[in-house]
Amino acid sequence: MPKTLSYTQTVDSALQEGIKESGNYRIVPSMSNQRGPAGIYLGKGTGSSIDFHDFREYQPGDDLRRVDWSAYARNNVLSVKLYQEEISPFVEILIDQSRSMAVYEDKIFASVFTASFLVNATRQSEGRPIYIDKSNRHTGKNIEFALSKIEFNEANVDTHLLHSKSVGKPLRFFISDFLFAEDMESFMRNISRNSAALIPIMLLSKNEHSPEFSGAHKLIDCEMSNRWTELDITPSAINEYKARLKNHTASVRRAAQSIAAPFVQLNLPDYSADGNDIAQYIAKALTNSKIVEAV
Amino acid sequence: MSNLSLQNPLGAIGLSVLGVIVFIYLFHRQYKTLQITGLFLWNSFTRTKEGGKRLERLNFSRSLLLDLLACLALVLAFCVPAFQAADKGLTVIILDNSFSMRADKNFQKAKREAKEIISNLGENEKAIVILAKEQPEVVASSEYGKNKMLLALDEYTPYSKGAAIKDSISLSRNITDGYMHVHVFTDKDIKPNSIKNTSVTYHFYKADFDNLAFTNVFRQISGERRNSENIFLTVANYSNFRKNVNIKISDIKNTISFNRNAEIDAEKKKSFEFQISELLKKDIKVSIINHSDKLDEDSTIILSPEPELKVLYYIDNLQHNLSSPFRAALNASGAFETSNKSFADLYITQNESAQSQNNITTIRLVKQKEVPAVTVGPFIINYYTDLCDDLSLSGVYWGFNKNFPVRKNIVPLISVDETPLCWFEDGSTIVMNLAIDKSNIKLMPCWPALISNIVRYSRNSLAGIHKANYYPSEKLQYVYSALKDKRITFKNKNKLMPSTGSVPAKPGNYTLISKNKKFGKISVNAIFPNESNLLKLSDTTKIENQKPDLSEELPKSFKLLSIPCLLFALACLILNWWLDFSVAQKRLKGDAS
Repeated sequence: MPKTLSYTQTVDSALQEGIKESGNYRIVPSMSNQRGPAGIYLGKGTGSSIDFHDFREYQPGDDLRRVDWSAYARNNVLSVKLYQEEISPFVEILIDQSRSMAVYEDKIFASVFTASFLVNATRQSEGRPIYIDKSNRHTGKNIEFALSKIEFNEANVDTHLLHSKSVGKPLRFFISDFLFAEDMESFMRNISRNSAALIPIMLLSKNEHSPEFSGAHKLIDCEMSNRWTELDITPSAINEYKARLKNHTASVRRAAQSIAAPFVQLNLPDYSADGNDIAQYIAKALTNSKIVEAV
Repeated sequence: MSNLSLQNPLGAIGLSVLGVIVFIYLFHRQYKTLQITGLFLWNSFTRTKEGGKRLERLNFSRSLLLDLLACLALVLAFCVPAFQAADKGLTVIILDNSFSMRADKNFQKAKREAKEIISNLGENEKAIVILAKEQPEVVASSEYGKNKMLLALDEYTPYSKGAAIKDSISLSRNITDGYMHVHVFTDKDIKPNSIKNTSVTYHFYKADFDNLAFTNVFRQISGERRNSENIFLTVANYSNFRKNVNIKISDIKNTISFNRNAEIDAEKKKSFEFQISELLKKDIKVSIINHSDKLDEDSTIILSPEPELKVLYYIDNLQHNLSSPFRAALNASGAFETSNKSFADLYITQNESAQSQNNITTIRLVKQKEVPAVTVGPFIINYYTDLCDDLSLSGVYWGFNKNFPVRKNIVPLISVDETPLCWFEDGSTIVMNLAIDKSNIKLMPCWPALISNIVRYSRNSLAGIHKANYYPSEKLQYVYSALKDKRITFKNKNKLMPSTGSVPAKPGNYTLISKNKKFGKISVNAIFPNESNLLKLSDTTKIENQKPDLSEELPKSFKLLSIPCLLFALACLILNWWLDFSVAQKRLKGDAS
């Protein structure tokens, strides 16, 4: 992987590429249970749109204008018409800021790009994007600024901001490599709390899904330097690693499925200097996964 | 001067261990560090075997560096480094002992400076004095104390025909391997060479006169021994003579340049002669004596002591015959007319005989008066004795070294350095050298008077050998070529002197006995005991053996340099171990967490 840009340049490049690439995309409005202010999307609940949703018996306090008088005439039962609500969805975007996300340049680019892409796709959908980093929730124009200042220096995934009560039930994207040995199901449940839906996006660098080094190596954990192993990397060791990675990915997928979350895995291609290949790959992958759609 | 030396250089063999360490590290498995994500995905693999399998690329790790440093320090410790701080080294005083150093009292000046240097030496500083003669000789050492060195310096007077300055420096280099401050006092043109571990300071003395003879002249004209009536121009060449010689005589106020090889500048010569004649006109008596066979032949005048004694003067490579205006001026001046007060009332008559065509001129001393003050004299062997048998006289025959056996028909008459005279009984005459090497006769510009003495003694028919100017303990220059078992014993008033071959120190008349047979007498006056330069020299040994013991123990504090080296090595090893330990500990903690 050619490293042609500094960290800041990589982040800025990813940010701009995300804005540029997301111009023709918006979030697919079929996410369930999202709650948000009145908007253009049909929500799961009843609202004031013109789309009929259901009937129910009249209850005191109901708007008399909603009473279905023709049905009352037929059945002598007071019933009211319920219409589907129209909402503007909240979309929360959370990036795993642990150190493992910054070991490879392509991963830095991809994570910032994905976030930027989703933020702008949300805006295209007239939704409200919220970017959550380790210290704050950013909205509006602050999102780009916060993304440009992103730092990957945590020892593990910080989710404490997810537990604070937010307005409505947002659609939540979690961008991570999921390369940690935890109980994935409980982790998924944890990060999906207070959200209408969780969409975990697993980013794997080329060096992670297809490592190409060999020989005697002292492999040091990027997040805990006192953990290492000395290995003679051979083709069979690589194959074994790949098999383990596959199992791990499957476990992450299963965990996502257990909470009915659509899981997106992005095995990044080779990183070019402008990151264009990765940008197109991610846009295409998100489209195929029906996360976003072309406008 | 600080100087770091290794007392046990063999310890450096231990450096080979460095190679062994590097070799071991070459076999040591080196791991390329790589930061990765998802270490747990790799963790359970079988660990690679460490070391011994194949050669690895040498990685200069901290561990290797510390091991090498420790080994290096250990080797250094075994080499026993000694830091000789403030070691002043050996001070070497080299005195040019050639005759030319007498000019302008240069030797005295040199001795004065040398004494200053010796006086300023520290308590434990070592010094030696080397006389640069034809062969250098160590004559004094600080081992006998500073004061003795200073006293010894007083004894030396220059007399050598040459000065081996460079050999003297080499000699001092042989004496010590350590640092040397060499002070060379000389009048020679020497190109200073840089010598390892040596600083050489040259103290040059340039005399107006290049040789003793003119120095003597100058001294007599201007110095305390000035005698308005007698000036002796001794044109001699006792030391190595340069080709071009500038002779300045202040009273003459002129310079004449003699080139021994080239044609003498007639104009200059004339000018010189003119000045001489001017002196003569001032009623100053002048004897011109040229001891040199090379310098200026045609100004050489050999004086015959008696009218009837013909001393032939050989003129080699004569470029001007004696019928020069110079001699004419001498004659015309009447300088050699008899005077009652002068010992050298000489009169020259020129015999313009047929011999002059053969470049042989007879100069006759027509009148001679006894000079009571002169009591010195060289050997006189006026008849054949046992002593003369097998006696080889190391001589110079007009510049060529040649040994002449004394035969019955030869009577060595007188020896005056390189222009000796020798008379054959058969009437032929040869000039040869009796090689009274250390005789001070060469100091005497009045040797014509000596001739008169010789003649006097000869007239008195004194038997055997006579000599009046021995130094105490001076060795006779006898060389027994064939019969080495011959011994000469001196007998004084029936008391045999224990010395063999050397002249008794006490003045007196001695009988020479060989094989219990009297064969001659000798009279020793010891006139110049204070000028003896043999008194101290006789105590010294020759160059090769003269190596003062300078191998004193180094101060203990300097030897302790081994201990810091050992401590450093230990520190390196402990540091290496501690770092390894702490890393292992961290790793264990990491694994545990």
